Amino acid sequence: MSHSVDVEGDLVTRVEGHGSIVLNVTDGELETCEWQVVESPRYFESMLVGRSFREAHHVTSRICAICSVSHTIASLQATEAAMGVAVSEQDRRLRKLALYGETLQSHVLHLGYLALPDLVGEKSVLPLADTHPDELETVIDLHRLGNDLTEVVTGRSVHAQRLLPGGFSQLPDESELEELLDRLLNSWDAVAELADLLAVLADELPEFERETEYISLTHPEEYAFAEGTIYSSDAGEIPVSEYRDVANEYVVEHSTAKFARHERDSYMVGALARFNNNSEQLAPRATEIADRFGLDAPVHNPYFNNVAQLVEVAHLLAESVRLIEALLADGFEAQSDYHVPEIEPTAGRGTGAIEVPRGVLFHEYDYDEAGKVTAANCVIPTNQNHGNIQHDMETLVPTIVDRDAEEIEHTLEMLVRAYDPCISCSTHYLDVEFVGEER
Amino acid sequence: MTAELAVVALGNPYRRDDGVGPALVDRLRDRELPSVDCLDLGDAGFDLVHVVVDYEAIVIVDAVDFGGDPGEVVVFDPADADGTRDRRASHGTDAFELLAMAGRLKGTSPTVRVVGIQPAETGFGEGLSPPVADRIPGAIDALERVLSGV
Repeated sequence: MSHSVDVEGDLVTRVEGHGSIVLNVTDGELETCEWQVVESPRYFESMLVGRSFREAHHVTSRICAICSVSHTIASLQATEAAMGVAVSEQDRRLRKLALYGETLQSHVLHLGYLALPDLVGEKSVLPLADTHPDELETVIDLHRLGNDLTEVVTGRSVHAQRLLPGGFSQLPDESELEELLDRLLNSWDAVAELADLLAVLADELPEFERETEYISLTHPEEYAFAEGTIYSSDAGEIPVSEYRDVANEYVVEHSTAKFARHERDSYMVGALARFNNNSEQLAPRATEIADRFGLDAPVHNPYFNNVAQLVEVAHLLAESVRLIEALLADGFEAQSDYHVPEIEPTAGRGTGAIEVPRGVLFHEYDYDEAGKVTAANCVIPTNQNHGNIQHDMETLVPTIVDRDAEEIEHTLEMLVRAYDPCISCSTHYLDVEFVGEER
Repeated sequence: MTAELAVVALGNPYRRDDGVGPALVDRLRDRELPSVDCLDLGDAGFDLVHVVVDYEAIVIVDAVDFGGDPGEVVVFDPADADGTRDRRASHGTDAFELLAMAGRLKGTSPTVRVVGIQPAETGFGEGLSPPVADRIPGAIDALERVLSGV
């Protein structure tokens, strides 16, 4: 059977930012299939130029309110690498804890508020208050736990203020960490409840597989989030300093955001890429959940990024428990509540690389001798996924083209949502070249 | 959380009068009312659910386009605002639907009032428009009257 389908590019809902799917099938032939990112560039890299090393991370934090701590830490790493600033073991643990809290809230927000409605056949999370009240309360509690974890460590759940180059201006109260520890240890029932619900609904995830390249960080001692080396499922380990050769950003006509490619036409970053590259280092409770869903690396179905996020929720809870126990056991090094680490600025270039909710994030800055930024480059995870979304769509559409237009559109929207894109983050910069005009 | 009553500002101060909620709550905070928590949620929609669960009563302060004069204040119960569905989500998330959703969970049903201020300009830019800025003192008085009544 051959028929025609026309999807006209309404904005995809339940994603952060503005992106559209444009699809045209005429008499069974795929003529147009585009993942269009239509947001305006935001010029953060230009805004950084001329800024002091002490304020760069406050500027880049504002790239995103969902993953502001992620941008802050990547920014601090870049600055510290450029100036050779050491960070203590205590402060590295605290940064990890802040990052885990943020990733926890982001994953739960995506799973519970944005993806779950697809699986229960609702347009938004709001009707779940009537159909799945217990599970929705669980989602709200876990989301809040992630927010509170970040707030206790950094002073705020969004746009952290205590994180500074070289350390923290203020340390958390041990009593607050003890209270968080109790809540974390009591959260396993909540995770089990979410897993139960997702297990029932997993059949609703479309059966679609497309093998691609999976890129993440990797670390010899832990499931990499805050520190590590780049790892490609095709090419193996790659030094962070060579991140530009990994992302190979390029511009397409139908998008205001850059696309990326490495060994193949596109690659994937995010929870599923991390799972595929590092699953052997997951906490036992996370592995239990992966086993329950039959998740065995490598997984080539992008819709299972949702399940990988749930697996990571369990891992993040377990790792947060371990970190807080270690911090409390060792006790905090004394410092004032207005501590500013002493740093003599030096000229140089530094790169930061961390795993954030949606995948690997790179920040790179050049500094002059006064400690002012002279050039900046930020490569955001969603940018790195745009090409993979596009190629998934091109592969998927011919296999579902006989379905009605509404079902095709819904299946493609679910695909986009599975990547949990943060489109506002990704529209960071475009090189515009004017052709055929003297300027 | 230190009180049973929260004043919640919604709005974006970089969209001119859309920031009237945060501006008012900033001034209220300066008065150091002992039994009121002043919260600025900006446009962070889902966090509103957490506030609903935490407090006995909530007063939301936000720009509301109800067709009044710039800076004019309207006070209402969001449960009575069903007829304005297409006009009430300038922040991307429908705060009233979130309130209704939260109210159906955990058996929480705090008293909620909205203190709405008619905006004049909501384009990009900082600072309130002159007609709205001129009526801030009256809006603060109205807000304090609502706080004493919930």
